[in-house]
Amino acid sequence: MILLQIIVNGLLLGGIYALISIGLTLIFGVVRVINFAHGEFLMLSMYVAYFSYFFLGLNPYLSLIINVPLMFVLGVATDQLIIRPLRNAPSYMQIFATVGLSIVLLNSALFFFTGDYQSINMPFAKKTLVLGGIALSYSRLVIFFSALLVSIGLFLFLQKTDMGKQIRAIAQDRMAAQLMGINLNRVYMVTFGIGSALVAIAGGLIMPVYYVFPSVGVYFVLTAFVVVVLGGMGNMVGALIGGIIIGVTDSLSGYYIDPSLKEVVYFIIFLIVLLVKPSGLMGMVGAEEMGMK
Amino acid sequence: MKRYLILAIAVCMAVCLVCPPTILAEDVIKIGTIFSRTGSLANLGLESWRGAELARIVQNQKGGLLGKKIEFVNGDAVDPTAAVGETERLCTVEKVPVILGSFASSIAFAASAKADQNKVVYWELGAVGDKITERGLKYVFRTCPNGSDLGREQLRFAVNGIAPKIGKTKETIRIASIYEDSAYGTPCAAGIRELAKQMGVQLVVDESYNHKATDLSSLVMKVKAANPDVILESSYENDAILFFRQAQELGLNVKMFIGSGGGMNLPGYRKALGDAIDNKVCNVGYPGYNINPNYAKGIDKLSELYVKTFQKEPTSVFSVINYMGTMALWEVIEKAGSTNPDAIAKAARECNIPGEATLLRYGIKFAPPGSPNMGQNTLAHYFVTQWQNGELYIVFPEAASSPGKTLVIPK
Repeated sequence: MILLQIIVNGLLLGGIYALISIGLTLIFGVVRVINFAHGEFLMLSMYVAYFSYFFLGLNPYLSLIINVPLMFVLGVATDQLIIRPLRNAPSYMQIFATVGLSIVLLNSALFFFTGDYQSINMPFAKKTLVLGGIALSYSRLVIFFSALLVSIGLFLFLQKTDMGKQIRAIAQDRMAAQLMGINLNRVYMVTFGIGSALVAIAGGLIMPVYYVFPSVGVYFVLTAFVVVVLGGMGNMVGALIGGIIIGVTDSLSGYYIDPSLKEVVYFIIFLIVLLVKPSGLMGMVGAEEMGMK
Repeated sequence: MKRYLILAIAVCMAVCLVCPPTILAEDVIKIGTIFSRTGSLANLGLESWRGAELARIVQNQKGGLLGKKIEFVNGDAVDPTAAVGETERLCTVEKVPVILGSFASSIAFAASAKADQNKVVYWELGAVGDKITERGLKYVFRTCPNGSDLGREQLRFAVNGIAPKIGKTKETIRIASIYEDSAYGTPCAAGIRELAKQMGVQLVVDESYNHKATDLSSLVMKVKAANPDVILESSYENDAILFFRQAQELGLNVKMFIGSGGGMNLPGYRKALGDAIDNKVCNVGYPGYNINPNYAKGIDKLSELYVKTFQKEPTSVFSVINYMGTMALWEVIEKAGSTNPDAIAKAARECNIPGEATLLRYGIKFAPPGSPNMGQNTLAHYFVTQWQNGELYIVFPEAASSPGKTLVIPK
């Protein structure tokens, strides 16, 4: 019974990791910009959810209508103002730029919002569904199913729509895609915007179970990078599976080994996967090198 | 002629400027203070200093020390580096025999070593880091309890305060100990472990975790599987909130959570968790002004003096403990009969102030030279508060309970 509950906890936790990673895998995996400010975008979206609750009395789920467009605009602005001038620069230049952005955002948040922990005390977040002795938190279930929906939705978007096809084309061969008349700048801008909008969904949904403070993104982003690489860069379903693997490992090793050693365990799994299958679980062979030129 | 006149005036002014302090110095006793008066720790640093300042005012009203008025020379220690610089200044320029401090352990750690080097007494009033008094420094004394005392008090409260009320004994009560694995939680847990062994109490869980963890469900499950009556928890604010929330989600029910300061007595913790923690969470820590006035005699007058002096209500509990420690220093200096640091250190080592003579009723007796925690007040202990209707009230020791309040055990 305990084992089952631990696995369920791990699955639900995996949902959180997956939801945060989906936006990252889109930007990191498809457009090949390593966005170190992803964690800070998560932090900002959590603050948006917090402030809309605090000032407007909006339920964090409802405040997604503000949160998602706002973060989309922020993503577009980041791409145009910071990434665009470095489009043809070596990729480490883009890393410097996004690390810089991350530091600026983190410290501005510290200045404007102070370092205090802010959280929303929502009655719904405390409710649990008990199924045959297994406790399931409603708010975590919401996150889990949202992660499923978002990854499937994004997968379909990339497969079926014209924009999705353009994004994939650029990921496969930037030069050839441009020769085919795809507007590189526009596609990058939209992709960055969508990636950031997705993290807004994560921020809004985890706010009821978690709390926000300026460096909250740092806590999550490392795990998100692991999930993205583990699942296979640019693969939405991979991000979902990667998130769940990390969540369940985290949960099991925390119980059966030691709570303070759980990171060690999932990093070992991560290393093994990278040694055996460098492109990640769901990634195409060679995907880790594609587009990096 | 005019030039001579100007020169004469200048000389007079210079003499006036220089002389009065040196003449006055004969009539006052200068005591140095090291607190964070600016910077990120200033809020609680200043609040701690206010306790010492009240003790200075009270003593001066009684006629001062050795027939002289007490005067503070205040050093501002933003961080450990500044603390060392300011301590050096107080020792060599201001030539104070004693320095009071300092709220933050990192600052106390740096400043006390510097004072000891200069053979100046360092009188610690509020910082709890165990290591401060574990370096064999002859001039360093601490009147407040230390970090591992926090853990010992958590366990003592569970066994003596909670067990009898839930129909358990020290043999049958099931106690879980969880702690964050850095400089704060580890010594607390070590204190618990050590005292548990001495008392013959068994810990059903003894687990550490990283306070930066984004999920504590596995720890919750581990604790739940051990089915404890109480949880002794040393957490910062964020992890304390996360643990309590996940405990609620996963149906972990215990009679009481017992924290050790850290994050569990902060308003943010209550704000995040709401009334779910009322009557459910207790905290070991320093007592505030709501301690029973029959126990801490004179606390009501002290509270009035605070408001009169600083024109506001106390912002935290820190001034009380700092007041008590500073009053003990006055007693030691009176006994020493001089302001020579060596005489003061000797009087401190020999002092044995009984409980009734101190505000918080625990007395002062320092661990003698040669013991591992030389200079630590061995009689000091903490008090236990409980969240009730969104406020923290003292509930243990029972005699110290806030007026009209007792420990509530939820059904």
